[in-house]
Amino acid sequence: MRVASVRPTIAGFLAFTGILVNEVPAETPVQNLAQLKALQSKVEDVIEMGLPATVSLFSEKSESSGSGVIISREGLILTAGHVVEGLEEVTVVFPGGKQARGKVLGSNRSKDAAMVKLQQGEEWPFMELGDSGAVKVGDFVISLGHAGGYDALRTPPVRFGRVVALNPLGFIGTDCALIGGDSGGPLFDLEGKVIGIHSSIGASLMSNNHTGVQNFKADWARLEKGETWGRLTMNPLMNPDRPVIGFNVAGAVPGGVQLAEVHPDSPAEMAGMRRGDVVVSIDGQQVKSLRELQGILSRHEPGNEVELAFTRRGESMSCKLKLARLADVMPEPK
Amino acid sequence: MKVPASTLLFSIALLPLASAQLSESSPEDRALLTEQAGALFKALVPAVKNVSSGSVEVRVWRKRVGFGTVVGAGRVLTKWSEVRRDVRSLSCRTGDGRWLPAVVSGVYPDADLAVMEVEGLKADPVQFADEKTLKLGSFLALSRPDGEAAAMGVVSVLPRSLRSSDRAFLGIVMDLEFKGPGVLVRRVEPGTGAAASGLKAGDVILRVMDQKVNGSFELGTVLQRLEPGQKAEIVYKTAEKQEVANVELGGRPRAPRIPYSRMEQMNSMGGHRYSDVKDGFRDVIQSDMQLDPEDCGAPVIDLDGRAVGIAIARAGRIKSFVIPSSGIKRILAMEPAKPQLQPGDPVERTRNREFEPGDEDPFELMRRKMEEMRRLKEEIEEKDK
Repeated sequence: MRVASVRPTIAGFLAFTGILVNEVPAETPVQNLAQLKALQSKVEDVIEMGLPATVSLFSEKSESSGSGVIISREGLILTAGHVVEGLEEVTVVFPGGKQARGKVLGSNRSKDAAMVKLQQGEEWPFMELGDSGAVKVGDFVISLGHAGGYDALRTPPVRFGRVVALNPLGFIGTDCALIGGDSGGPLFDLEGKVIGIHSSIGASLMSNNHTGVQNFKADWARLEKGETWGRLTMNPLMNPDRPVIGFNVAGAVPGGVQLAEVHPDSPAEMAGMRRGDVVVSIDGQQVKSLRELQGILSRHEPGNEVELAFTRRGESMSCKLKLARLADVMPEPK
Repeated sequence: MKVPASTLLFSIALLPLASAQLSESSPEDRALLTEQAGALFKALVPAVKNVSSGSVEVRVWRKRVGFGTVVGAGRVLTKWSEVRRDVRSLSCRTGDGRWLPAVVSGVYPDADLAVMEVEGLKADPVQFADEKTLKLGSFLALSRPDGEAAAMGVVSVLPRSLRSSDRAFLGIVMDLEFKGPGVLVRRVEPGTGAAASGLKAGDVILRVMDQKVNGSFELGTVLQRLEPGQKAEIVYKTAEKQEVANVELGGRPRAPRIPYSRMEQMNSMGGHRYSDVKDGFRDVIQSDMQLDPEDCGAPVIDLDGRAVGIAIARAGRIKSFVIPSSGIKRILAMEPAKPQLQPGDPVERTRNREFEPGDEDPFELMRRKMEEMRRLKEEIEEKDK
């Protein structure tokens, strides 16, 4: 972590929403050394617990190497979809060097989320799942992963950082720097709950992306059953299977977000929405920005029905519509 | 033990995003994050202050090339590869704003550390505290002369050697396809302990040092923890029967580590700068501190304000290295080598030619070539966009 050049800042400080910390009371920023020490002991505890459950996944077939985290005593492992792409089994290597066989279960490529199951019937070290939906920008997070593949000379490197961005499709951006081999490794909150799985990086050290555990929870049964679906895209916002209403947003205005353009034959057009309408809420949930709107949509599937409240020249209106696939509303650019 | 060449090329899973970041921070988020980082760094000040009088800026002319740590009366340790580019115009700047001329008097090339004599430097030497109290995840900060933290991070990996010659070498090539139990020997390297003990291709290793090995990772892990010169008892089976061999382990032949091309590509994403000398250290803590190359040489503190080491390299996207207190003490107990290219030194003789002070130093030449290559690469990438 480095200090960026000081710029005008908003009043108030980070709220530790959703984190119960004894030494650091909720909603209290880290402002002195004592609080920093309390934070440090949290981080050390999480690593002590999380390390034994952070495994390296290696395939003899593809000679590729990623990471994973065990999340049940029976040996269920969460990893990234692209780590197990095209594989049926993997060698699971523990930080101490012990190795075991793992069977690849299902994978949702669109969310880069996959499951592997350890084959031996032992009691495995595991970490509990958290709630990635409650994560806020500024939350402290801890990242583990077998960077560069399994290395007998060291334990998987620890990285500490903060949530720096949230993505409407359930991805989390942090400043815990990742590199090859980390993919599939766990992102923990300060309680040691798994909140994300390492997925991708951008050029900036602030650009490290993790698929949130809600992306697993949403399709748990399908993943456990061994189903593989979806499409791996570099930009999930362009994923053809993403649920959409069918309009472009001009921007936030007082009361909601204003529509710039309504796509022909889209659910929005069929429901009678027009350019200039201001969307106020979806299913009773207030929409104050494009990001909030995308956030609500990301929890839906195409085909789901939602109720929209909007205003037209000050007049309140509402409609019900069925969400469509992005590709059905906007054909892919050739 | 030797890993088959193919595994050195295995693909390492992670998706590098070509352009945009997956999740964009809003201006409000960025403001919050900046303020938060500011508060964290401010909270560090009482811990950093303890050591800051033993920290100096090291400059070539007016440009900072590193920091230095005071280790004796008028004596400062700094990163050798950063100061050697111009040892004749070195100076140190202390926290109270004084500029003092510095002269390199000795070098520890293995640790990439230089000893500088700084005339008029009054600061007390830094007291190095035992680093054994550090755990994985313990916070670390870099102490600047002005009493602020230059960087913060955590202990990513506890101290380890990065020198491949410190690792035990059995002398076999393993068959990775073999499903076990045990490890199938695909080939035995001639002239190694394994060859001398009678191990042959086709044998299956079952136990090493009384420990069962289920596969290549387990065998590798056991061997990595042994030292060259040690004897290892190996139980293996041939086509006919079970045998026991006592193999003397060698040191891994000193060879540069083969860089994973994809790792290198990811490391270079975004044009981050790393230290030129960043590997091969004998005993270092790995940290996620995001150092700039010219941050090296500064004392590293823990939250109790104790000096636990000296920052020695920014080695990649995810890692910086710190030589811990015990390593610094071990190094300082040794006599440093004479530096090359000291003013007034007799001219050094290299294999082919003499070099004069001011002449091209081969190291400097290499650095320039690397810089050139980096620029070319950036240009090519720019064209690809």
